[in-house]
Amino acid sequence: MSESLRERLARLRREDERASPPPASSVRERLARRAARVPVAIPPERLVQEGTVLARRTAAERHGGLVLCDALSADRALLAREARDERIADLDPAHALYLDTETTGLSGGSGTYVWLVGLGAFEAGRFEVWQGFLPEPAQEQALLAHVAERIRAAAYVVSFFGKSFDRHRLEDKMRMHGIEPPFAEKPHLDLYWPLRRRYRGHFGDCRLRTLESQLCGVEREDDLPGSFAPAAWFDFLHGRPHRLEGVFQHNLDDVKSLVTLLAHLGRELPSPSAPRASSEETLP
Amino acid sequence: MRALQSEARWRTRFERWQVVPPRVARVEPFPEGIDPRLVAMCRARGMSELYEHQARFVRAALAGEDVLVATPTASGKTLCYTLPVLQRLLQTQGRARSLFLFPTKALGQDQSAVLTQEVEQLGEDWHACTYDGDTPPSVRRTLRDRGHLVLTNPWMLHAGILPNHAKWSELFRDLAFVVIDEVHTLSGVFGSSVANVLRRLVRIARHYGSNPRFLLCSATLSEPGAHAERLVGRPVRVISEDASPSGMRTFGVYNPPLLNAVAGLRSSALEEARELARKLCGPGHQTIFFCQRRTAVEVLTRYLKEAAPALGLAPEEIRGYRGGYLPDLRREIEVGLRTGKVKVVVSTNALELGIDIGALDVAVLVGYPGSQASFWQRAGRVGRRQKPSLAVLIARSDPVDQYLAHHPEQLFGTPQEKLGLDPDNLVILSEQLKCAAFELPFRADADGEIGSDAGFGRARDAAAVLDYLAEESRFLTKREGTWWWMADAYPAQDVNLGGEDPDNVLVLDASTKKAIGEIDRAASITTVHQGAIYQVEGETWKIETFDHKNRRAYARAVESDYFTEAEVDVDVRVLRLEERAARDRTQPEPDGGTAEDWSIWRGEVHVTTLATQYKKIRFYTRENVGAEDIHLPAEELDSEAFVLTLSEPSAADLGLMGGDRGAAWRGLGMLLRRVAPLVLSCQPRDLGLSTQVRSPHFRKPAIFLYDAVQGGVGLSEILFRSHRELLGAALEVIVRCACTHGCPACVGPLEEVGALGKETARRLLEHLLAGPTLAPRELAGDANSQAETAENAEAPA
Ligand SMILES: [Zn+2]
Repeated sequence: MSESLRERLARLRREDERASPPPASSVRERLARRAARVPVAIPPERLVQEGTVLARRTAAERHGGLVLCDALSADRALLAREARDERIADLDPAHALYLDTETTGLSGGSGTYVWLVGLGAFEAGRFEVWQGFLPEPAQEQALLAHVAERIRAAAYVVSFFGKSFDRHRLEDKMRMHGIEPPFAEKPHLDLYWPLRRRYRGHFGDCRLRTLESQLCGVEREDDLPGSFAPAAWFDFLHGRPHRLEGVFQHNLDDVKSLVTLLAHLGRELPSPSAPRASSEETLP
Repeated sequence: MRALQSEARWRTRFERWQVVPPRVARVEPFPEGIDPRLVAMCRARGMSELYEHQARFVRAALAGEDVLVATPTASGKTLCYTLPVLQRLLQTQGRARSLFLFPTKALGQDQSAVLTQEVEQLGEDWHACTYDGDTPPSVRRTLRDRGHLVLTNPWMLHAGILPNHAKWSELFRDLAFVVIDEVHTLSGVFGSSVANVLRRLVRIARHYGSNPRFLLCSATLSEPGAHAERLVGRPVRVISEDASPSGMRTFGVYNPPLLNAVAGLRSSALEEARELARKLCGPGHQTIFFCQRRTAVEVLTRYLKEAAPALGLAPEEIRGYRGGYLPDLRREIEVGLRTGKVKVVVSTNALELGIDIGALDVAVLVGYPGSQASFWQRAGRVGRRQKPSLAVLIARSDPVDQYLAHHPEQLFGTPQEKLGLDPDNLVILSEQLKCAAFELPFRADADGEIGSDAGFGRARDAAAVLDYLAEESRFLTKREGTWWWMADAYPAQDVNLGGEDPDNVLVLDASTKKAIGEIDRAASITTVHQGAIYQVEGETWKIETFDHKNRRAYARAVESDYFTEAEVDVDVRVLRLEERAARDRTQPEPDGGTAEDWSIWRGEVHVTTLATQYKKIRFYTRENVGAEDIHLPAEELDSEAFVLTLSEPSAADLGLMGGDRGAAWRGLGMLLRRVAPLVLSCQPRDLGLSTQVRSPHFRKPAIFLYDAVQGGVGLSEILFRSHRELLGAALEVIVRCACTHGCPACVGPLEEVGALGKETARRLLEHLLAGPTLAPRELAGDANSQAETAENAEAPA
């Protein structure tokens, strides 16, 4: 009648004393459990197997009240000046790649998965968002290899805070899988920095959500905050896909906002008259 | 020193003077193929040849072997590993990289200066960089991509580098060598954790396609090869013959005078240190005192500061130094030692490692440090220059010290004691597997185990632990034979390597709320309970409140003329037995059968420790000036124990009966615990003791010696294997001791062990050592179910 390894572990690890699951996820898990009781789980629709990758394509013309194609007529010299990268003056926004990812955590490190990669691009004047999805952790390498190729083929990358976040997550994971990261020499227009320089102190903060609403009039309905992304994917892996669609939608909106914000940045505007507030701002 | 050897008062108290005459070096030319630039670099520093041990090390390392050099301080160990590292760097035109691990941040920074200079001399665009908590983020990136030699410590490797291995992929792709200095410090919880961090390192390196070799350095060790193999997980070539030259060194073993021969009472080592200080301290040289306990450091510092004028010193030229002091204060004292401003330092083992304090002149070891490795590290703090040096060991009224006072040759001979290290401790292994799974998923082999994993393949129960983590903790998910990390968390942040446990209690100044010190969980109930006197650098603080739950104690500075000592009650219960050896009685039983004589066991135990009361003891006189109760929750511990049991008939034969039996049995237990450092590299406090005259589990007399660490780190196993040496040393201590009825230097004082205590303990040991040795014995099927009966039997008590 000897004690099992399981019992020994629980005893030795003083499992009863431990603050079991970390507080952040316990809230999420409670929510997930509540949501799990919703009878019908809705998996993301329109996912298509494209070679080794599962993805979905969504064409888009407008975002909020704005026409996405306006970005194509952005003033390149102005963009380059604002971005402080002269290479951008010679590049056509029609050949840019608009990048936003969803991951399993903000803390980084090798155990974080990039499970949804949204890549927007213009093709023949029409904007389309490709969303590559990771249905199994084991398929990470295939997804990343595909993403790396698409980025390599693009003229430049547009993101919001991606130089500090998305790029590093992708680079780390690509290196881990022996894929040469495509970012090294690739021009990268990270809208966060120029927009922050221009609007710092105007709207309280410089988050994507704030800027798209203030500058482009975009109001989202039923947006699932990005902080739900980790739990949504963990739920999916455990047979509860009900929140994936929300994250797909959120990611799609983020990518479209990149286009409208680039269009905005590439237009010379009179400086808004709102006073420069000195309130503290938070990162997006 | 001459005064000590000639003045009658001192002369008789030195049991032994050992003079190590100057020794000539044994040298060899540089091995063939060593790059001329390296030879030139060595020549420029006055080394035209290598010592034999260096040459052998370099050849083995370049031949692709894992190597350990285990030689004394100042024998040129650094060159052993820098030569192959730089040679390989040159051979590969800068492709081969190396990672250096130092057990403390301070050591890493010391070594970094040297290596940086050496790499620069090669005249290429190669770099040696330190990566530790002080490295600015802006430098980290360059360092990751361009650091050919990366110097770091186990904590940064664990929490910074491995979890972000992709950022270090350049390093891991071409990692040729992993250098680890001072591996004799890697024992216990810390060493067992580091062994797992190294498993993770090997795993990651293999993932990126490299298979680094280990280059290890250590102080002189017993069974260095076995220790190194447990640490790095594979066999290691050992080089332990020191061929370096040495200047004249003098060692003295000093035995304090017997105050009372009948009681075996010797004058206290601390008192003697104070007396000797008059001869050994002065404005013309630097003296270091090593004490065993933090409180002793405080008491002696205080004594010496008060005596400063008589020593020709100013009080501020005398400093205390120990872990628990805040870093700034420690740095200030280190600088004071290097510049010569500090003349006397009183330290714990905190100054034992290679932190650069320059070479001092006289070392006084107040008590044996528990291992020969430590003894030599401490003695090696003096005389690194060509000046004559002196090291004095003051023997305490302690069985190990007294044994060594009579056997000083053991100090100078081959080391005996073994290091406890158990990478498969379930608590440590499970936490480290979490970190490892975060770094790379684990794939099960066809048999469901992970035997082919490059790092954890040899870890006992690893696959079962991963299953446990997947099912219980929800950090991992198992899908199609692979365990994946599946949580929004960064596990290395919450996993400790030991030594700086989050359970540690912070001692705060009650008025300013500033931290004045830190103490580990187990010791807290006896050192920072309400009313305890807590000492920092000779200052006394009284603990006002101890917030046990939140691990904080609040203290107020007071002028106290007493210190406090707490007493504890310990209860040990057997949970599971794993191994037994026994022998039968020689006389047949009346029915013609045989009966058991005595046994040793090894297994898991649950220990409950309750602090009961504390005594207030006056400084100097050690007069007891009062006692108070302690009201704190019991400390619970799950660990491993070595158990010695004696059958009832044998106990009766040996006179372990009647009113005194508990006292004599306890006296034997105390003695065994105190001589354990002769076979085991540990402090007596690393081992817990419980003696039971009628153990509820075994139903006969039992002595439990348990590992004082959650889950155990292998000490009980060493005791099980080395029990004969342990018993032999204990018997010799009793036989040699001058006392009549027991004293602190053997079984304990008469008042504790009773009139027959010493005699009974001696008879017991003679019996255990005479006759045939023990034979391995199957554990009876009911060995573990008995535990329940015992628990039930004990429950009402
Ligand atoms: Zn004695």
